[in-house]
Amino acid sequence: MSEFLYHVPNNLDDLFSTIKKHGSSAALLAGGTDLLIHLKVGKIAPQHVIDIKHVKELYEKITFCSNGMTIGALTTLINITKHPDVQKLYPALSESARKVGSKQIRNRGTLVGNICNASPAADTAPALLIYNAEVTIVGMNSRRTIPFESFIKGPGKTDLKEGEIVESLFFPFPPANSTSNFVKLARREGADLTIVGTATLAASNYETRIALCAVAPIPFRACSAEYVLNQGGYNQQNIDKALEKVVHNANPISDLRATKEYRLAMVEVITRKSLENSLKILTN
Amino acid sequence: MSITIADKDTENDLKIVGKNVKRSDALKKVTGTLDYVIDQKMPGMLHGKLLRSEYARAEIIKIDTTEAKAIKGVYDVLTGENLSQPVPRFGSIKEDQPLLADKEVKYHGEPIAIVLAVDEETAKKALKYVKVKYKQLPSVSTIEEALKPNAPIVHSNDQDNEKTNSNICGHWDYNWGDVDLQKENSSFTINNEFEFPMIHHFPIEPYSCISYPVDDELVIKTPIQHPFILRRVVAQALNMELSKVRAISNTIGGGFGGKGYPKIEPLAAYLAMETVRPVKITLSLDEGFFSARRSSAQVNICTGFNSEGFINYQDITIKYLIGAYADSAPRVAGKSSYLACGPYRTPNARINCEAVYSNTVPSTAFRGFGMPQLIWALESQMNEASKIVGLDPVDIRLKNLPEKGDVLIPGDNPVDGDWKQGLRKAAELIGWGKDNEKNKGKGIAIGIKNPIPASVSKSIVRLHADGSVTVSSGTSEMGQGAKTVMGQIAAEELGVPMNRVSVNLGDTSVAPFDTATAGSRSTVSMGRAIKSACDDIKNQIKEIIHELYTLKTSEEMIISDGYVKVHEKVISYAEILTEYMGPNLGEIVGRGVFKGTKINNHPMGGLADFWEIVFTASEVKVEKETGKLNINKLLNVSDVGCVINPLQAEAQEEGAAIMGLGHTLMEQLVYDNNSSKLMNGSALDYRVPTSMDIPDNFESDFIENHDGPGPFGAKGLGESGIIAVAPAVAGAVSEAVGIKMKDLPISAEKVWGLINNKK
Amino acid sequence: MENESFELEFILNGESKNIRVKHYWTLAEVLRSQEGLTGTKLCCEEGECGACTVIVDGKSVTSCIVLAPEVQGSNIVTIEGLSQDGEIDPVQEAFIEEGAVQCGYCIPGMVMSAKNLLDENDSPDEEEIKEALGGNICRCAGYYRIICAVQSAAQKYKEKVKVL
Repeated sequence: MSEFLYHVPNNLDDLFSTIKKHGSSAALLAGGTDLLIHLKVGKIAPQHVIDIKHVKELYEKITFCSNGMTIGALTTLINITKHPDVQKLYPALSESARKVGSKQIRNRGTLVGNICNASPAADTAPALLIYNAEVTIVGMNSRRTIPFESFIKGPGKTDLKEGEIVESLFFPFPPANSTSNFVKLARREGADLTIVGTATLAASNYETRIALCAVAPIPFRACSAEYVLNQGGYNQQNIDKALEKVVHNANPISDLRATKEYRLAMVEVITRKSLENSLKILTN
Repeated sequence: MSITIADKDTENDLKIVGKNVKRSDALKKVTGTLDYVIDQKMPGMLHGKLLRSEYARAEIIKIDTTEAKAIKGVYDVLTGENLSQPVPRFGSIKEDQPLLADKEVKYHGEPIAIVLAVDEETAKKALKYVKVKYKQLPSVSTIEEALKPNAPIVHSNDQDNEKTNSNICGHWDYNWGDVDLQKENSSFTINNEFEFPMIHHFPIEPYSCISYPVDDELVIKTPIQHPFILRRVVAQALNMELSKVRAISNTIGGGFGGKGYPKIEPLAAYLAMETVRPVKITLSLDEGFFSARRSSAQVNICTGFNSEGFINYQDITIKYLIGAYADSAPRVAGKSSYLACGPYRTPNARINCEAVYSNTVPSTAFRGFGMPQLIWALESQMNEASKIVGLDPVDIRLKNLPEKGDVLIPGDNPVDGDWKQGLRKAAELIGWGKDNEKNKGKGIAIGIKNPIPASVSKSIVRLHADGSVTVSSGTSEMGQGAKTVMGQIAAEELGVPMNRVSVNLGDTSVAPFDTATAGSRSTVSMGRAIKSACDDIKNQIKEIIHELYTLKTSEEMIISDGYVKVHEKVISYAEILTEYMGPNLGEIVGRGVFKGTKINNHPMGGLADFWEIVFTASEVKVEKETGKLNINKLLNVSDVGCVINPLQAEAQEEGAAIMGLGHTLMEQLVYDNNSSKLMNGSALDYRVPTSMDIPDNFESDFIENHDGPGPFGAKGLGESGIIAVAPAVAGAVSEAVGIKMKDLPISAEKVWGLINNKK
Repeated sequence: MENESFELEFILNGESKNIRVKHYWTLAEVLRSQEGLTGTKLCCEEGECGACTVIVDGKSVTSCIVLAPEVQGSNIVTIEGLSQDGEIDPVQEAFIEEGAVQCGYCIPGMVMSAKNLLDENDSPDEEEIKEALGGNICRCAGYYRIICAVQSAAQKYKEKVKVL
């Protein structure tokens, strides 16, 4: 591991001035479950590591308001999986957070950290996409909120500019009479990188949302497929048609985990599974 | 005088053997107070970190160590050039592996330089400042490439090579009967090619050893399974006498064969001698991937059956892909191929095996010693045969299994157990014959292996003045429970409670010679040595009693349970010793030996002491859409003769089975075909089973007919559990969805591909 | 940077500590090298195997991927802190009794994960146990026995509470 200095600012002003001072030679640390691995394998070698866990304006709590839920920059994955209201209202988020790493990783890793890595295979990303999550980004003199859909720009790339951090994620309540879930395919049941991950949301008015990870350079919403179902409802023919569109939207690579061919086939299988799970609950 | 030594060979008389005696090392292990070598330090110790080759094959043009040497805390940086010339080479079979790469690197990850520093952190840091200039050379990493006419030759200058200018390290032929004649006489001929991938041992304890000089002796403390082989290999490499090298096998945090033969120890030993300081070399888990693996194998198997389903002949060609250095791979190839026809009566056989060098990590022993590779092929073949011949998979096996006492391989010991009993038991436990639900299937397979033939184990057991006992044995404790089992055997034999028996293991200066802790042999071979040492003690007691009491020949004494009964008087060992030698003086030293049957000119060097056999069955559900398998049930029935410690025996069987499930479902080292670089050598990329990946149900059962050569009729165990898992699972998959697996692992993608006819 | 050090205060197995560490040291390194607590094992060093699991403020973590300065002010329990007054924890007792120990190298981490689970859930079912131990690799693959040990430890805790 490279030698660096550890900084622990306790408020946002401090944080931003530390970031400004060290610029690109600094890395931000929250849960550290990805950062430490990157440091250890030498993927990055910053001279400064800035721990944001003690910034008093950032928080770990999950809060609810009249139109949705806010998750803070410091909210750990374990807190998301264990929160009964998250389980009830945002099951795809809860389930996907549970699929990230091991318990030790979830005890430490944060949701915000998970998405800031912008991994194409980030398990939680499809859930953020189907819940239309919004990302609140703060900088020294700036504050902006953008849809999560436009937050991830490419593998390892986000919309964050130098000096900016993610302060929180906002999840509007899902549509009335809707249900959602996340399905993951990997090589083993224990912690593993995903081959195909799909989150879907289905509603009694046919409002449908479908998002996938690990099958394109960035996690994405399958909008054309959603449109087919929104318009035509949940009959078999429509579902087949929609799934065809999902597959069309995917652009996976071959790697150690799976070939492109298998991933494409599994896009259909896993998305169908997720949709069927949703519809089963919906019709009950 | 008649002496009765209580006959312990019936189950009912046993007080300690056959009981769930708690592991003697468990308390230290659960409290984290057991020091593995990685946890140890010594005053003045230097820490070594290895720089490894980035390329699979390259000429080393120049290594610049100037900058690294200048770092504060760095003691020295050494390359092959800085060692004594010619560069010392080591190996248990061929002395071919240089301590550090000698002008040319032969595999990705081969050590080329070492930094010695005051601590590990400094050594790691300095590694980054060592600059290497390579000239890349063409390399090979598959059997096909390695055997091509113009293939790059891994050992071009090696006079030892089987054929000059070839990658064939060695070849073995075993023939009996007349295969060619039978080819015309068979009703059914089945011909297949099966492949088995490279697997890494993945011990959770990383490789770590400490070597230090003491006067003119050299000590090596390391988690090694075979301390006596280490002693020999180091003595040869450094040109020392055996008496000057002391190898201490520290408790091993998982061996599985990967810690059998020397890896980093000869280099540490060399450096300790050079620096006259303790030198510790610790590898990361990732470096473990550059240190040991199981050979991959390609098996062509052609089997002829007669019209009734009896095997007429086996014609088997095996190619093992071994690494860039021999390690123990030639022995794995030669020994396993001897048993390629498995447990079946095979009147005619032609077995041809080659070990092929490649520019990959040296392959070595791995639980099962080549048998998982061969049984994968043989038992998959039997599964297909059952369909073609039209017999149930259990029936075709029953038909071809020999009876106890039958010849298995001409010239070797006959069948030593009721194998049909084992197969029937496995079939019964899995519910064989009952209808399966949709997409569910059952599979059954038999695994077999032989221990190390013509091996030697010696033991010293000392009965101390207070009646307590010390056992010294060259066996290593690697989690298999030898320390407890050896103690149990001595305690039972001498009638002393477990807590009065101390067991010293694996120190070549303390314990007498032992061949190896491998091949499921220790309970049998070392167990026998300990038993005979205990008998020696009892005989000496007999002499003493005779002397003390001037017994007449007609008078009887009984030695049992730690006491001697003579003249209606019951005397304890301590009392006898006190009376004979005086208070607090002396001890009785018992010497024990086990020596396997050595036969000159026998292809194995001697006879199989026992046949380690296992019957594995599984029930699997296939999710057709994804190809994912759910293992509902897995079970092993092993013929072990006698279980010394049921809890430990079951743990061994389960562990072996789950390890087997790893290579069955998910494990595989992946090499890039062009660069011959290892692509997945880390815990993140190489997947092994976790608690979430185990079958819903697991069962292990033992056949105990007390008919083994070991103490109390024991046979060996520990490897059997891994051998037949893959074909048992593949058989179930085949039954569930009608596909034929030819290679491993049985990944979801592969199953999906076969279901959908994609390859 | 070489000489920069960080003043770290934390509670280790019930004892207050005030030590100087390098900024880039991991918690595992500090426990093993500075504190001599080698019961916390090192293996993969990338948070995958669980051998280095310790409990930080009531949560199990892989100490190889936690920076030492991050535990400023934290309460840390390692395997050495489980036994009290020479008496081992029921989890440790159960691991011995159920034959859950083989080579032993994964065991301290495994015990810590089990302990953490039972602290949070006094009656875990099999699936919950498997999930809680999913981040601890045992290559001897003694998983079934380990699961039995956790179930037995849960029982032992309950009996202990009854006695109290």
